[in-house]
Amino acid sequence: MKAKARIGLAAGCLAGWAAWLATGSPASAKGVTLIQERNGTVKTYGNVNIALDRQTLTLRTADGKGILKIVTGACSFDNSVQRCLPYSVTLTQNGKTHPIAIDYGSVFLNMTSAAHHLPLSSDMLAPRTVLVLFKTAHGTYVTSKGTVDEVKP
Amino acid sequence: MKRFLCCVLVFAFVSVAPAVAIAQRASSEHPSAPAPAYHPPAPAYHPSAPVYHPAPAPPAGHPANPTGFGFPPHDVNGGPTQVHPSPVHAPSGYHVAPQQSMVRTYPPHVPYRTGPYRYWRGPIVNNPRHWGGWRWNRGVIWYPVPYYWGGGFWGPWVIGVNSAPLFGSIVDYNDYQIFPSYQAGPSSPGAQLLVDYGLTQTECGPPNLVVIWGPNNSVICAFPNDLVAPGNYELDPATLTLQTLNAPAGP
Repeated sequence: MKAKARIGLAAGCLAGWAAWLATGSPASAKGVTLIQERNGTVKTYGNVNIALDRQTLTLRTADGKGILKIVTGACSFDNSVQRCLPYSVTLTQNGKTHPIAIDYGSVFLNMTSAAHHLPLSSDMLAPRTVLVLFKTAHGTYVTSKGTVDEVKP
Repeated sequence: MKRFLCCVLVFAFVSVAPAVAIAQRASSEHPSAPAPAYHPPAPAYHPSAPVYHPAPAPPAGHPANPTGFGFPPHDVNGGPTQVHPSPVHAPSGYHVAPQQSMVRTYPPHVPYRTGPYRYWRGPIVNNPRHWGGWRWNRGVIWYPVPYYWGGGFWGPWVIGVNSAPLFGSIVDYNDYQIFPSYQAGPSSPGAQLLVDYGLTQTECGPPNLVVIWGPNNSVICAFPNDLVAPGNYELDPATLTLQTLNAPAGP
């Protein structure tokens, strides 16, 4: 009887997985963030969650312990790719929030359903993808690219 | 078993050694006493050091730093973004017009207090594209941000950091201020404005130019054409139109 119950449970699980795959599971698309220091050291962070709330971009590490908030403005369009300028960056982790001084940067967003070229580039930005580039005042380069997971208009 | 025997030997040696020392001292104090038996110490046992096997490196794709983003300490403790000083050297008695460091989140209507002029009473030169509202920006409100020249209207230029080449300047002799000009970046709203009006940007300074005052004390100059005569104009980012400074002279 026990063996029959186990078989039944396994069959049920398999059926559930098959149904989930058939319906098309939501894409667990995430982003990748690279932090390159002045000395050339590069740290890579995968599975970064990217959320967009009006003109504030929030990057959250996979372990949920690091949150980078990038506030942008002066947004304009080049064809279908939106370009905004970051002017405020804060890092929240270990229970503290630190402002990070930046020199300059750009944030490119493609919120359409088709890929489009980046301005003056042959490189394409995939649909619902954001590309963040900025340099800190102390020479650290930060690059982040990924699909926007959450959007608040 | 071997280890047990070694431990026993070590223990025995430790127990006997004080007795030997006492015996030797006693023999030196009493030379007539017979020399004590000398027992060579047991060979010292050095157990082999444990072998250390480092943990395998985490697989690719997992963050190496388990505590969030690993910024260098000087980035984290550096403080908020600062306004960089202009590389333009003003002559004695003059100063370079400051950039604005505040963020204005409301749409910048005319006038937004930029440049040396305060009251713009002249006619509006409509944009030939007749955008209306923020349609030139796909309905998205554009507003200037701090630290970027012209609030970012003319391109992603930060004065003193990555600004475009200096492109002349306008001198306000009344307030002893210098307003430097830079080249408008491609794909910027400023570039869109120039294309719409058919204007070609040139260096500020010579007379009889179209002088366009943008956000955050920014200014660019262009050659006049049939649509835009020489003179000072203020830009309205909301509609991408130009307004002249002075009303036309009466009959």
